[in-house]
Amino acid sequence: MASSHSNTHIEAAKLEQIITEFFYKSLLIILESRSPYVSSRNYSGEQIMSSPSSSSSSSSGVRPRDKWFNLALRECPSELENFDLCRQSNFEPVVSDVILEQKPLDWDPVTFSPKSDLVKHSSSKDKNSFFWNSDQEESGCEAKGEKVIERWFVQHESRKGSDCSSGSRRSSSNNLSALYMKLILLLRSLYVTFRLLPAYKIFRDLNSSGQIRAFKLVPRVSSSDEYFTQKDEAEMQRIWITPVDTSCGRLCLSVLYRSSISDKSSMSSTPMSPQFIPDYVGSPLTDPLRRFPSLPVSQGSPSSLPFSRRHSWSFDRYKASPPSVSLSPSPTHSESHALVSNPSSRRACRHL
Amino acid sequence: MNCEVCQLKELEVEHFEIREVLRCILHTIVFHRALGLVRPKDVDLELFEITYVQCGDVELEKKIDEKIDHFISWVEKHPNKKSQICLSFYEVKSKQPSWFTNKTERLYWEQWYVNLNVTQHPKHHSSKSHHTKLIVDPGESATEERSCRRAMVEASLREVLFQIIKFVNEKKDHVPPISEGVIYFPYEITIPSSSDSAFGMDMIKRMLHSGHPTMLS
Repeated sequence: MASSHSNTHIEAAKLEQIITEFFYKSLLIILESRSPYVSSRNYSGEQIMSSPSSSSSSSSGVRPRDKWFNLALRECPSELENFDLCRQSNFEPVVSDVILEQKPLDWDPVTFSPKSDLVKHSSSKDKNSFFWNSDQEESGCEAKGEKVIERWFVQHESRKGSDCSSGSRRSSSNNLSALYMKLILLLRSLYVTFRLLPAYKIFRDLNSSGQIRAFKLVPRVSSSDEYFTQKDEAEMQRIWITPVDTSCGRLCLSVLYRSSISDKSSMSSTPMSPQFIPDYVGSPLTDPLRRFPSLPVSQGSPSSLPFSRRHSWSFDRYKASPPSVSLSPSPTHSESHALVSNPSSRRACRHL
Repeated sequence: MNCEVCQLKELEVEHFEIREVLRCILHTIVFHRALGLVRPKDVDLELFEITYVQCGDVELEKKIDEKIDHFISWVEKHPNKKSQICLSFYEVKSKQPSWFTNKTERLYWEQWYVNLNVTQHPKHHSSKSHHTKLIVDPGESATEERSCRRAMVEASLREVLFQIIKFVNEKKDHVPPISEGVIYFPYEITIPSSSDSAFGMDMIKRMLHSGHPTMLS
């Protein structure tokens, strides 16, 4: 009896660890796919084909955390290593924004200091300071063009009355193995999806040209639709990846993205500054809208965006398709994005 | 065991686009079935603004390229024809040996059909950089038309990739557990053989083996 009880708790602990590592891996994929300094694209390390059960990680070059979900990515930035996902006992949603930033028209490439500019925005605690919206004047970023081109949501929706930490008969070893396999598949899909979205082209151009442009990543613990204007919402499309059920809820991944980033009317042709948010976020208990840092980069030579090439993206292509077996996520977190529950949105939506 | 079948949307491609299109599709599928430890490798297509992902296994890359070479040879002998390539995943099960059967059998649990309609004769366009008598047209409208066509193929290819992602995420229960130390599931790529009837027979044999009632939907 006691043995059964302790087994249940062991299984529950394993489930929590799997979910935590899933959050971590998702975030790493986001960083890896949108940040030139984290990307594996230029990483020329040897391909790792070792068994996941290999105990000697040093001999194969596989770090312990690489083995999670059998997806070895580039070395994680220290900021992410220090980010304590475990404190989120309720697995609060993680919202990560990919922001395209443009320098102001009167920007002086010699004297402009992106770091100080970003620090100013961070310390002002102005929620809207990193977004392109009608509140730019209020936010103090009148001279800066910024646009959220992607917003990624990773969340675990708890089932009512269920608690992952309390243990459940459902968390059997077989169920955990099946869950783990499904999460491997989900993360594979996430990795591929990142490369199919329009923002990847910009990211790829950054890597290939060696020039760093204004491209920063701002993951957040929670968000709300006040950061998007109605116009922005209408311009964005959504992709839901089929959620994976756990014994106490389900893990959901989705993204809001702009299908067309080559909007020349909103972006001038002046060079963009290379900017990343250097400061790491504080505890979620002190600041509900805490942000992750981006990575420090040096200024590169300015260049214009390569938006002139015809591409296959168009708003009309991705009309709302019949819903898949997945259900629309219904966030349980009180501060979760209202965009999810906005049934009147005309946004095109794709279920994967 | 159920064999899940996915018929991918048909793509209309020109001869010189076959290699890139097939590499993109086949590797994307295999990446989703390489459930062992992988370090993914991003590959940019040259003809399209698409990046796909390989699981980084050199042997696998070589085998896929060999099959693509065979397919291209087949296309050159059977121009302007619709064709189908089948990527199957299976488990190897042992069974009672008898006089007429092997000791092991393949149980197919998933099949992907890549449908291509190759629209141009290979002799007229062997490389993307060559212009032929049929195509040479220095006019702006021809260039615009080709650019438009290229964008359409790219969009269709992207649709196929999303179709793969959707299928992988909607149907997970049939995927068997992966063995320790194994990177990807045993697989088989079937291309049309020199005679169409032989290809058809291969398909029928696989259908009987997998128990799937229909091949084409």
